[in-house]
Amino acid sequence: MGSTKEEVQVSYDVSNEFFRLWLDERMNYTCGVFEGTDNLEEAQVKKLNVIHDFAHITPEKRVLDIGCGWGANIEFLAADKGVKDVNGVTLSSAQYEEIKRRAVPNVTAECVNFFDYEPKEKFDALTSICMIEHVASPEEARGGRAVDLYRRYFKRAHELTNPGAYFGLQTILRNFVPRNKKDIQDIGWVTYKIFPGGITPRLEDIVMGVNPYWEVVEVKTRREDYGKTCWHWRDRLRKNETLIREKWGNEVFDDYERYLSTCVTAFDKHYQSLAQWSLRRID
Amino acid sequence: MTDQEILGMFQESVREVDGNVKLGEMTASTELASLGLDSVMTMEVIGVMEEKLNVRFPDEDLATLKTMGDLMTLVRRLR
Repeated sequence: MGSTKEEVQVSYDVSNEFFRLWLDERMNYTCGVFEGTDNLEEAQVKKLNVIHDFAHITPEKRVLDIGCGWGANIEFLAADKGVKDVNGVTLSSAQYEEIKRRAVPNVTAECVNFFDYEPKEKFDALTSICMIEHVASPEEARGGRAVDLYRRYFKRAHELTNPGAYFGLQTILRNFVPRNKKDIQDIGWVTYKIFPGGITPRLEDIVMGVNPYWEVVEVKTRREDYGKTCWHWRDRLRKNETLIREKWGNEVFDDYERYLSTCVTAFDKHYQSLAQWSLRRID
Repeated sequence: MTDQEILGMFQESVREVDGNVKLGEMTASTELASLGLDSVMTMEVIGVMEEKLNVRFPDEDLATLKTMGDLMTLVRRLR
């Protein structure tokens, strides 16, 4: 069933300090929105605003962020948008420790698999920024099971919400399969080495998977934005090369340099894209 | 394109990707999986054929290709 806790640790538990060196200051590990800016920090705030708006969030709504990472989005909702009841779930122990360290008022989080999460009350709005990539494994996708697994995810999201809820969702998309050996091997390497147990969905998989629980109200693709985001991440990684090699070893630097270069290429060549979705609960 | 022309183009594309691969007799019923090409090489061969034909095969069609006959049908549909 997608990535296990051990596989999630491979992807996100290298070291919080390591990721802090090359992500934006809020530690968003997802695509930013480069509208009217070339600055990564600003682009990430623009992304958080898009998801906030797509989920129709207002301060009095009870909100859940599924796959909340190091807490960038839940902190943004509580501190910047004044939302009074913000909740997050992550399966990464390191990310959960960072959320506890931030200790943002009106934010609670649990380190738990989303499918095992049992909140006391339902939510008025959901957000999820690039967590669905961990819901189906490459083997499950190849076996034709991805849509069923995505549907299970959207069914659970439906069960956790009150009537009238909106869901601001962001997903990486799998587009063209590469036709040359190097790109095929690089993408396969990223899939199995950096993000084991996960695979990016195809756009049509999501369209099918939301039924019969959520209505697609709006979709915006941002392939070029993710290419820029990865370029910024790689640029910052390279600027910290000496420190990273000293503290975490040559393999970590070389692996992350290869991974981010593969992503820059993948978005440039349409192998991957990104979509932001506004979904409305079918009551 | 005839069956023979498509078979010929496929064989030529395999040779361009890897000249050491020996393909036996092929017909429309030959299963692609029986040719000894791994998944990476198969995609490279597809890429070479796309260049020769100046078409792009949709990924969802590639996922269902099982025989040379399927490939022939796909090529004729896109040409």
